[in-house]
Amino acid sequence: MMKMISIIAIALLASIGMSCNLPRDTRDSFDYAKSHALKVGVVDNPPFSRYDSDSIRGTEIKMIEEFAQKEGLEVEFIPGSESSLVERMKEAEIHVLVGGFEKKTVWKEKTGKTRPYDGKHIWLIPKGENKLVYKLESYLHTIKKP
Amino acid sequence: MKPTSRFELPPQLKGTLQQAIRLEWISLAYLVTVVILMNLVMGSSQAMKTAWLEDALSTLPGISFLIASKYFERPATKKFPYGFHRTFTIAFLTGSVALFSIGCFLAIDSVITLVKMDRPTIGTIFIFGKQIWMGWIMILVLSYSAIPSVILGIKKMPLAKKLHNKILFTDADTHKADYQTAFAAMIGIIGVGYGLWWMDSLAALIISVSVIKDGLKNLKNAIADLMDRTPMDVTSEKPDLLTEEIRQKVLEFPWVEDAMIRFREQGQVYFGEVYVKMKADSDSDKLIEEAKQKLKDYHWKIHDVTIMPVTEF
Repeated sequence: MMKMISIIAIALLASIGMSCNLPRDTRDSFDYAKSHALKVGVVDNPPFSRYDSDSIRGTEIKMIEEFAQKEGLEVEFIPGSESSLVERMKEAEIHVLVGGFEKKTVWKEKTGKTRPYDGKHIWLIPKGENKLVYKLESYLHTIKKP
Repeated sequence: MKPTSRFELPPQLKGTLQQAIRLEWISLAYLVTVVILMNLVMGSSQAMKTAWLEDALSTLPGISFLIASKYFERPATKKFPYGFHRTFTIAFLTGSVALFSIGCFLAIDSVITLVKMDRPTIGTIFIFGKQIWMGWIMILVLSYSAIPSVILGIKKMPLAKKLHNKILFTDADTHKADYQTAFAAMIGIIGVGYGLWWMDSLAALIISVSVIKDGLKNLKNAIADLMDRTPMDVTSEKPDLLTEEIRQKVLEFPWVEDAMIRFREQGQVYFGEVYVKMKADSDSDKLIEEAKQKLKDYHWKIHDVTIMPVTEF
């Protein structure tokens, strides 16, 4: 009986959740990205990402561009050093940080992260931006290699 | 040295004890699965971490009960003339110390998370190619951590009362209240879903305060029992009326003019002294032996009683 009630309760909660479009971001990063631009921090770490005076490229940059196109987002790349970009991520001034970070990265206490897209590499995101991570992981899943 | 007599539960309670032991093994197996599952899904949610530790801790009363149930019936020895009944009380004490201290740790940890404004990141999982937010999975696991637990608690409660076993009672009580923890954690997770990151830490704080409260209550009772407080009923809330009944029983003996009693709990059973003023011309030796047997037969909990004739209290 109790079991029945709780199953119904959970189903109800889940359906509420789906209809309200949960999860949401704690600082509306994804909505900001939609209305303005997705701010992507880039560290120099070929072949994943590299930047010089006139271009930004790399495998993960390509992925970000593909993601942005799919979601209809403008992208603003912000090159910098790992520590300065992680620092700016604390206040969610940067939405995604790419550059071949691995799932056991030293930054994992300071930021959130996506699931690994190839079993090893992840992207860093501001803590608590759960809609953003939902969207990113949704994309990463589609390109996931076996 | 006169060791206390060999204790045996009355036949009708032996089955009850076996049933309790079986239920505790079932709970233990179930809790192990809960702890593993919770650990797998908890991610960076503070509320989940707190609920997880609470579940891990809730194995302690059960484990203590199972260990103590191996010892308490051992015959008294020269070295331990009062027998081993107190293993239950000691198990009760250790369990409550653990509960209390982890509760404090969790409360501090949750406050730090709140102050640091640490936001939990809860990602997603793909099940059969469908993307599901981990928060929903957490809620599912939380309900698995609560529902069977409540049922086990309800089943254990009457056994604890019959056996006058406080650790079993505490265990049953904790299980019965488990749904509150799960519910608080669920609210926290749903809060996170709505972008209200602080609801997670707040839920964790509420859970840890309830852990502290339980720990403190049990700690107080365990210490009081070890301090030879007068026997209390299994809830530890009111004095056990059995001791007063014993006094009335003694007063009913025709050779007794007046009587005073003093009892203490040793685990499930009571030890104590009865002081009697005897009417003149009674054959004290024989009467006292008889009376002792009568009192022990009156209730199984009265395990060891000394009857002492006095002229004044």
